[in-house]
Order: sequence, then structure tokens, then C-alpha cells
Amino acid sequence: MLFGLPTIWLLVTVVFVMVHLAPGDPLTFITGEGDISSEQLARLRAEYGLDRPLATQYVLYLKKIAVGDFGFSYRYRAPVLELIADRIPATLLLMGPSLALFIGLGMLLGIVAARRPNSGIDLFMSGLALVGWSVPVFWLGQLLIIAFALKLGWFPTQGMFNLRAPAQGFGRALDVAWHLVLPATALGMRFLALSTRMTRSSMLQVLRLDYMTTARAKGLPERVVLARHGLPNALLPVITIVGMNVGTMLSGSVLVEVVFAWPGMGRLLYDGVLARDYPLIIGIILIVSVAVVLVNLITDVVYAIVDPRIRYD
Amino acid sequence: MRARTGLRLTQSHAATMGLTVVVVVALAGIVGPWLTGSPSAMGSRTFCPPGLECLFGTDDLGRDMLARVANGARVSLLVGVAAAAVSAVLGVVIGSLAGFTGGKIDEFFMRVAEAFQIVPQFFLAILVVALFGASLTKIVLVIAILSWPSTARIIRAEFLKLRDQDFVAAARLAGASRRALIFSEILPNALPPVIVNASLQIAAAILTEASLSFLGLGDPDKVSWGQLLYLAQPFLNQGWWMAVFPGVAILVTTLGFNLLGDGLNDILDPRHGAHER
Repeated sequence: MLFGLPTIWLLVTVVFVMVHLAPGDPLTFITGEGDISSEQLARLRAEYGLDRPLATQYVLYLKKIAVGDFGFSYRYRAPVLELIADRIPATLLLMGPSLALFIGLGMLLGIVAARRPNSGIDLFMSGLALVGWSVPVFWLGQLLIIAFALKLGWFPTQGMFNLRAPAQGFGRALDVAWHLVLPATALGMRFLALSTRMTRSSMLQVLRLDYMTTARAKGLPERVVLARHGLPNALLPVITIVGMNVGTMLSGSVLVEVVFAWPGMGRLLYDGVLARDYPLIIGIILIVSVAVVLVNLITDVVYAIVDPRIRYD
Repeated sequence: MRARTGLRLTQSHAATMGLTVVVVVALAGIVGPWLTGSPSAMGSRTFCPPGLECLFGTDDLGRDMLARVANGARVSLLVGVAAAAVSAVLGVVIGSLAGFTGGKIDEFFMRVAEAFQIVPQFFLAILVVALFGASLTKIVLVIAILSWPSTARIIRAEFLKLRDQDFVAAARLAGASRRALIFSEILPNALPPVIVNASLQIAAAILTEASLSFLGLGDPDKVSWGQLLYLAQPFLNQGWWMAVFPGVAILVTTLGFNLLGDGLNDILDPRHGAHER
């Protein structure tokens, strides 16, 4: 568990060093290109200790981060943490269903492929997985918009809800779900591919183990052998892979949110980049990175709980 | 036995296909721009749909998409190959050092590698480019610095495996220096998996560059595929071809390098069947 802290500290330090190495006054990275008076500048300079030695600045900075003070966005005129907290639900709403659905689907495809290795259907699935892994998520999003929103008109081109739809209740949920279909598909494709590949290969390894032969020898039907003895063991590596790819998921989410104007954290980051709103950019990147490190830790723990063969000292 | 032969055939098939795609794309990047002319020359026809008149269509300023995609090939391949090369060199140096010396140094570098692999690289890349400004060199360096750990870990594992083998012991007994041991005995034998990894990393680097450019963080002076998709975003309705062709180019290229990597993996390490990947 303790391994996470040094990583987070290293990360925060790297960000601090980069901000100070970057060309220009570090104060511009605090205020962005916002319009502020010289008294305010002087006050900020004192608050961040920019007139004091670097080591003092570093300690001040660590203290601020530790209590969740990521500074103030001069573009949105609000504390960075508040802005980010506002956008997190939309990002989770996009990622959650998309990942659950497509990783699940990938497991199914992986099992189908593993049952007849190197058959036509296996090669087809593996090829599909390779394409899914190679396609840029944002381009897939653009294609989905062109085909299903602009040409066919089945789904909305962007946003999270229609202003004319009911503002609450079932109607609202339906409206949001309808807006979710295309971005979730674009985001999920890479994980469909990943999950298909991983399930296939770990299923193939499990299928050759002795207890599978034992299960078959007991006369259990093949369906039961696969579902009860094969699948649970084959799912273990899938947990790790998913945990290890949370960062990829979040970066995919940024790109998809930009394509579909989905009001999540990724879109906020993009707007921050366009406006050169440095406190916002740095805040989002720190929070995302810490989240990813924590998810990795949690994955390790979950893995140890699920698989009694693994114990961390 | 027959199934096994068939397996090997399909595997080298993957490598052949991948290599063919890579060569075609490289040729398109090298020769293409001369044939198609300037990517920024504005024509009289804006939003000309793909057809005989303009093969890949034209964009909102009447610029020829074929010329732009061909020029983009040059930039995307350059970034991909350069980033993978720099990252491979970093990874080989660090991995050899860790694997050969072992002990504290090994422990330290592996911890750092682990930290690098956990941290979300794309976000750090965004931060670096946003802080330091975008140029091709910076993008290449950022991608390389963020992606060396996989190579380092592979090389380290190979070193640990190889350094105690008989041929290395023999060379050591024959009085070979440390340098000779590393460079002429162990490293050549440790390289095949690095080559496989490099191919996969080119694909990943091309995707990262495209993603950065799509967020408007690419080198503004260079036409790249990601930048073309960024410019296409507001015009999905008027000119679908502005998005379709650059995207196909990215897909085909990354698919080519991924296929090549997968295929090479099976050829270079025949002990691994397709079922063990």
C-alpha cells in the first residue's frame, strides 16, 4: 500500500520542477493569461512564496497539494478543485457503462475465440481485436458521428442531453442514455479489443491445466466446465489488465469528450489547454495521475483477495 | 503437426502483411509529397468531394487532401520512428545497466520504471507540451522519455537470464572485459524482443502524436495526420472526407506496425505459440 505514496510524491515533484523549468515567470502558470491587477500579482507572489528560495516554494507547494488546494482558475473564476469536482460525474458516466459493457463483451468474444483456437472464427476475432487496438479513439468517434448522427440521424451529434427533453426522471435518463451511445462505443472499442485478447490467451492457458481435465473426467458438461472452472480463473489476468489501463481509459475519455462535446473532465482539460489556463491543466493532470496510481494499488489488493495464491509482504 | 505448420504460416503471414503495409506507407511518405505537391496550396474549389477531379477531396480552404495526407505520412512516421528509436536506446542502456549490475542500482531503476509505467503518460505529455510549447523534437522527446520502461524491463529480464549462461561464463573466463561481455556477448542475444517491442512502440508513438495534435498540441508548422483530424472536427458535416482519409492512414499504419510486431514476436521466438500470447 505504501508504494503509492512515493510515486505520488515523485509525480508532484516532477510537475513542480517542470513548471519552474518552463520558459517564463512561474506566476503566469498560476494566473494563466488572466487579467489581474499588480496588487493581486504581488499578493499571489507572496502567497506562493515566489519571492523566497526554491526549497521554501517547494514546501509551500506540497502543503497546498496535500490539502487539495490546486489554485484558482482565472478563466472560470473558480477554484480548480471545484471545477474538476463538477465535471467528474459526467466522465464517470461516460466511462462506467462503456467499460462494463465492452469489457464484458470482449470476455465473451475471447471465450468464443479460445474454444476453437486458430479456427476461422478465432482468426476473425483476433483480427478484429487488432483493428480495435490500432484505431484512434477520436477518429472512431468522428466516424460514428458522420455515419450514425449526420447521415442516418439516429443519434445526436454531441452533448449530454437535449434541452427540450424532460429535465428529470425516466425521460431524462433515456435522453442521456441516447446521447451516451456513440461516445461510449468510441471509447469502449479499445477495451473490447484488449479484453478479447486477454481473455482469449488466459482462457487458453487455463484450458490446458489439470483441474480442467479433472472437471471433464468427472463427466461435467462442457458448458459447466467452462463457466465454473475455466472462466473464474481466466478472469484473474483480466482484472490486472483493466487496472493497468485506467490511464489509457482516462486519456481515451479526454479525446472522446472533445469529439462529442461531452461535459466531463476531459473537455475541461481541453478548454484549459486552449485558454492556457495553467492552474486548471496542472490540477486536472495531478488529480488524474493520483487517481490512476490509487486504482493501480486497489487493483493489486483486489487481485490478492481474489487469488489466494498471491500474497504481498 | 499439420496444425502447427499452419499456425507458423499464418504467423509469418502477419509479419509479411505488416511489413508490406509499413513499406507502402514509408514509400508514400517519402515519394508521395513530391508527386502530390504542396499541402498548403489553396485551390479554387473548397469542399470538393472525392472523385476524379480531386482524389481525396479538398478541405475548407480548397487544399488537396491527398497532398496533405501524403505530407502527414512523413511527419507521423518520422515522429513514430524517432520516438521509438530514442526510447529503445534509453531502455537498452538503463535495462542493461540494471540487469548487468543488479543490486541497489537494479532496484532503483526498476522502481523508477514502475512509477513511469503507472503514471498516465498521455496526461504528462499534454502537460509538457502545454508548458514548453509544441515542436516535433519536443514531442519526440516527450514520447521517448515516457515510454522507455517497457524496453528497459525486457532488456533487464534478458540480461538476468543470459548473464549466468555458459557462453557468458566462458567469455568471462577467457578474460573478456565488462564492456565486451555486455556489448558482444549478452546484448546481441537480448535484442530480438526489443525489436518486437520497438515495432509496437512506433505504432503507439504515432497514436500519441496524433492524439496530441488532435487536441491542438501538435507542431503547428507541420502537417500531421492528427492535426488533419483536428482541423476536420468542425467540418464533419460539410466534408466527411477531411476526417476519413487521414484516419484511415493512421489506422493502416498503426495496424501495420502492430501486425509486424506480433508477427516478429512469433518468428523470433518460436517457443511462443499464438496461444501463449
